[in-house]
Amino acid sequence: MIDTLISLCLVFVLLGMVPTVATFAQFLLVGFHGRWNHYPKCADYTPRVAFVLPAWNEADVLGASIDSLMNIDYPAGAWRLYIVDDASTDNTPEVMRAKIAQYPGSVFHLRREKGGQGKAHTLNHGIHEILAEDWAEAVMIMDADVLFEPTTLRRMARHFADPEVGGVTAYVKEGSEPSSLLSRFIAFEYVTAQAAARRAQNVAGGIPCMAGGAQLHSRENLIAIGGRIDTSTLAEDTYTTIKTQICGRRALFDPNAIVWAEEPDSLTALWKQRLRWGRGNLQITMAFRDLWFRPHRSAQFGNLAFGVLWFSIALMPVFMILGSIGLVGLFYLWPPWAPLAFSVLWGVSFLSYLFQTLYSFLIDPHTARRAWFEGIAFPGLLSVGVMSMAVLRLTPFSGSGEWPAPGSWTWSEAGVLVILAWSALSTLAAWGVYRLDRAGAPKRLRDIALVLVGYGPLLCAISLGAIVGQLRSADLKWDKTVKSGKARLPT
Amino acid sequence: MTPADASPPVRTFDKLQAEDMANEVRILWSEVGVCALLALLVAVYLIVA
Repeated sequence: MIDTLISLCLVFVLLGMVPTVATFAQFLLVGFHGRWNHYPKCADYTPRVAFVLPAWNEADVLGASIDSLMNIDYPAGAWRLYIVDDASTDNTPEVMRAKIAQYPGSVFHLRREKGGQGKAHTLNHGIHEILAEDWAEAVMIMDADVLFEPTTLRRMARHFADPEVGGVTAYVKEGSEPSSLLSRFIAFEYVTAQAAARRAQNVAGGIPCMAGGAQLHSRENLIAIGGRIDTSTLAEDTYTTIKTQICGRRALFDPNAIVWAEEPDSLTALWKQRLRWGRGNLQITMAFRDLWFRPHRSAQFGNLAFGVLWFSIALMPVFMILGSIGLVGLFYLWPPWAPLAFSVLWGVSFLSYLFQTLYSFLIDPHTARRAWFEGIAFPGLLSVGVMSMAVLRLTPFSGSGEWPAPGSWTWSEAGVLVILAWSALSTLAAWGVYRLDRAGAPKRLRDIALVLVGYGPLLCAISLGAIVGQLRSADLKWDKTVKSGKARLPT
Repeated sequence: MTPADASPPVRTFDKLQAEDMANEVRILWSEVGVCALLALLVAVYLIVA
């Protein structure tokens, strides 16, 4: 019986390493994008593009977004902007009217009389109108707060010279000015989750998500996936991306095509946004359940590596909790192995952390200059401390240099337990930081707590919230992230 | 859509292509550099430990 439990603990420790190893392996693929990319198949191709911009009470951000489009480097007359007003109740219609008058012939106004059903429904209203005419050869799905750099559309459109390509997405960067600790954490997160991860996904031959803030589809692809955006999940961009590839066309990420967006500036708003994303991804997991681990059904999404990566991210908190249970269990059941297991689990995390942080700084030096501290503090300074203990074989709370004996009921033992269970406890602590923010704690206190506990554990806590919400079938509704117009294009 | 619908200016396209491919090669060599550095650190660690 004890042997079985010990084996189970060892398996749990190994499972606790799965997300770290999977993301580390993905990071190792990033550099290959320098050899295996789509650029040789590009040509100077500028199809007629219809931008579709869903707007529900976006008066604060809409003007800047439209102005940024007017500065794009693209042939005159080869693009149009369709703004779909989702029955806004603020002065979005007035802003639109002013912009239509300012830019006649480029900006078109569509209005839904009954709104509030979410982005996908609003997009579909615009897409229906656009596809009803022959004019558009490609459709750009965007968000109301997204700012385009002048060359972004040209960089994205060039990939359509290859008829195998159905969709292209850009690198969405966090562009709030003035920045805050949270916005810089998000900026660094996007280096790892977009600039790095999506390069690796290009190399691997399939990307699970084209960012909904800048998703360019060929007309043929949009028609092939049904001529509309799926409304059955909260992650319509992921659904559309996977559907594009299942229907036989390629989806690509162009890391040099950049757009800027404003992201949430409070943990409460971030939690709401990411909970929606997390639950959306779990819905996607169910919607495409016939694909996972079935390579004969989908070469891109059915292979083992993709399945492991997808589930290790979607279920990350579960892996973290299992890892902690495994370490604590070993400490009580087979004490001599606990320090070794602890060193291996957290040592691998440390190596992965060092590699990902250093490499992310080099992948996007502009963001690194702005968010270097947030990159270092991403897993939380306390977690960095735990990793250091593992690597340096430190024995905290013990003067003897040995770990305390299990069952001694001492403060040393309690300290060791906290360290062994830290990957699970940090998730709990991150939830505490969120509650602190929600309770209206001073921003400085919240920021100190966030730096100590970490942004990574916060994302893990939100994932756990999404899993629990999904299991409980908690109420699902579209919650728009409020934007205030803080994003700026770099000068 | 066909590439026959392509439009000028060619110079902008070539410039963007050159910039972007150079950036990707830079990132490739950056990875080689980071891997080398970490391999060195791991080797030193294993020797010292």
